[in-house]
Amino acid sequence: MTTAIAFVLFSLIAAVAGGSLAWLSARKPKTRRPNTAEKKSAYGIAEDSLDELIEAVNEKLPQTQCAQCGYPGCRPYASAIIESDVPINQCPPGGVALIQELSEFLGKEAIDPDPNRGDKKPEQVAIIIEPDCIGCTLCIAACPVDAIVGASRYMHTVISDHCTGCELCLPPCPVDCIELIPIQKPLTQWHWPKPT
Amino acid sequence: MTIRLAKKITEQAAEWLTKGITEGRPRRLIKWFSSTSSRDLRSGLALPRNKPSLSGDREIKTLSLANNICIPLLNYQQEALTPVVSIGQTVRPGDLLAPGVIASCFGVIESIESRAVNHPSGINSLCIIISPEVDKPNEVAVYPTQENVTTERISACAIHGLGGAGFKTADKLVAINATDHGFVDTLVINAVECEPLISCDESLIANQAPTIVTAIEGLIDLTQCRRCLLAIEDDKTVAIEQLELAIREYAQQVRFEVVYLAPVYPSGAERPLVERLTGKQTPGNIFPASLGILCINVATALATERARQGHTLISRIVTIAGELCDNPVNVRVTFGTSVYDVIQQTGNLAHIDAARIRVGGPLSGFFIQDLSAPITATTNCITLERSTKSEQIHPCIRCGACSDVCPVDLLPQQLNTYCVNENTEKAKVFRLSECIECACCDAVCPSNIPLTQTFRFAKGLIREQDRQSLLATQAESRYQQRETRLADRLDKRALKRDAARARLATSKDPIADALARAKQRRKRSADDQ
Repeated sequence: MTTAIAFVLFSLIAAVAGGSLAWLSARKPKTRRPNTAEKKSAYGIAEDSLDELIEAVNEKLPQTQCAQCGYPGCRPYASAIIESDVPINQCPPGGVALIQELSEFLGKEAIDPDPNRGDKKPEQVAIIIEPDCIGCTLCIAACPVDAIVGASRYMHTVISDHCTGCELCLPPCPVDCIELIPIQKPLTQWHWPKPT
Repeated sequence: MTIRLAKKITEQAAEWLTKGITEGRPRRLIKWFSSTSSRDLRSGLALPRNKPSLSGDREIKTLSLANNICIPLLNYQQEALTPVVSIGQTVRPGDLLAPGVIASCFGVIESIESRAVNHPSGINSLCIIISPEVDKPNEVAVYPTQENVTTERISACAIHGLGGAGFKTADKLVAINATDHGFVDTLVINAVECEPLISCDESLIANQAPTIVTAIEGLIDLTQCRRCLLAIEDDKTVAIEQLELAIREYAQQVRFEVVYLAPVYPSGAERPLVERLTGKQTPGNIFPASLGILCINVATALATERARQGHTLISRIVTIAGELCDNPVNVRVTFGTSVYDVIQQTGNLAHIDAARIRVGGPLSGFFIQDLSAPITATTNCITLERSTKSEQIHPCIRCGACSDVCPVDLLPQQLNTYCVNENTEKAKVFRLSECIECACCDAVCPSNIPLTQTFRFAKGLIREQDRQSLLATQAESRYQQRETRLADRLDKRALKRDAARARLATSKDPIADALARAKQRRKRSADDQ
């Protein structure tokens, strides 16, 4: 009798365990599938879509719009990298960090920054020495991010929050009244140094 | 045991059903079987009681006014403020100097200039310097006494949190009613003060317990809270004695409950305290306020009662302590008095050259270089520490002591790896933003790894990255808009040119047409004149 009970009991346990195992294994792929899909979209790039790739590269560029790379802005440079295989070391504001990031992202070799393009400078903004300004509007036309306000024969000034420090306003100024100064960081932007 | 387990399981199931399982926090199954109640912090440090500044006279002295009172033009988020006063103007205590900033004494505004402030960066910031009238007592009622304290009065009296972060109390009261929860469920009066050396709140309770009881009752009326808890560590015997006496002698039955907590650091921090009192964890973007829990420091509560009587918040109690402090004491200091003056007036100048001056407690404070920095609402403690050689840092041995001790359930050793490598994405996944910088992990680390310092650095790095990416997005959109505008202009010009060319091509005698157009134009301008 006891043997029979034990037999029935054990088969019951086995059935329950087997059933739950089967249920778990049936569940697994369901939970996994969305995960793999997510992973793919996290990279953001479908292989065949060139526009998305340009968009992703553009997002990594510093958006200074300084044209030091030889293209009129960051997006044109991004297009050139993807479409014409232009070297990834042409962006001085991005510096070594950008080259590293792009080389990892695009699977290209991390090369040294191109010395002909200029050096990486500390964060800076343009200021107009207002008494010297003659109101010629040439700098307004040159600013790639519309950060200078003013009108013909009226004094101009730079909206420093919008200025990217690209230096494109310097060459057109006929009286050399624009200077670049390092950014004075307020306390809110200070952060703790890395411990050594 | 079985019954409790069954109850727990049903409770948990109900919670899962209502909230969903995907909140992404590891649930501690083992906790179900343990007998720990919610009143015990699972982690943190049980530090020996070390409050030397309480040993002497219980009375709190008020320091006399210094020659210069320096009020920084900064709000609690360290944002620069624009002054609303000018040099040479006479001010009274409570007069507005800038939005949310008030004068702390009678006097004349001497200058508005860049001075050292209590900030870990050591960067100077714009301050208002008042030359005070030393003989005039500054503790005067500015407004008439109110029946019940109002939020407007709290705002007018510039009441800021006297615990840690220094939030504007009026903003806090308004903000909690604007959350999803909508009303104050639990009002927590925080008198925990768990950090070693600091004893300003404890001495305040020992001295002014009856006023504190009145103040809490006033806040209960103001917030209309469902319940109110006063949390205090059970080793503060003198303060508890005075508090219980005051509660017994209070005219009515008090409406708040005193909760005695075993002394564990950092249960005075808001999130661990809320967890300890209510059992509710507040991860990530869930703030205690969104659960209807409002935490107010006991000294801040007292300040609201003083505000009811018309007094503005112009001074606070500061603890002076530390290894190189000869005369550890609690003193009342007027805001704007320099750290140096406080040390001098309490008679602790002897070892000033050998000492490193820390503002705040030994665990959560920061060192300052310039002792002319003024005392503000958040300066609860000044410690004079022996400058020791920093100990050799060894590699992590993965002992896990830091994870055991972390009061907010983080994995400091894992986080440290990501933070050192500046892998901000991973650091975010491991909830870096939830770190309360209590330095418990530093205290237990056998390899002397500067964990808290690394987390502070990485938090700043993330903030900076976010700021940069925001700036980049803005610059990009401005650039795009400009490009579209220029292209539009070119298009329009081309259209015009094409139209002119088309006219030219269809005309039989272009010269005669041009002459006719010129004549017409001349006629039109003659008509206009």
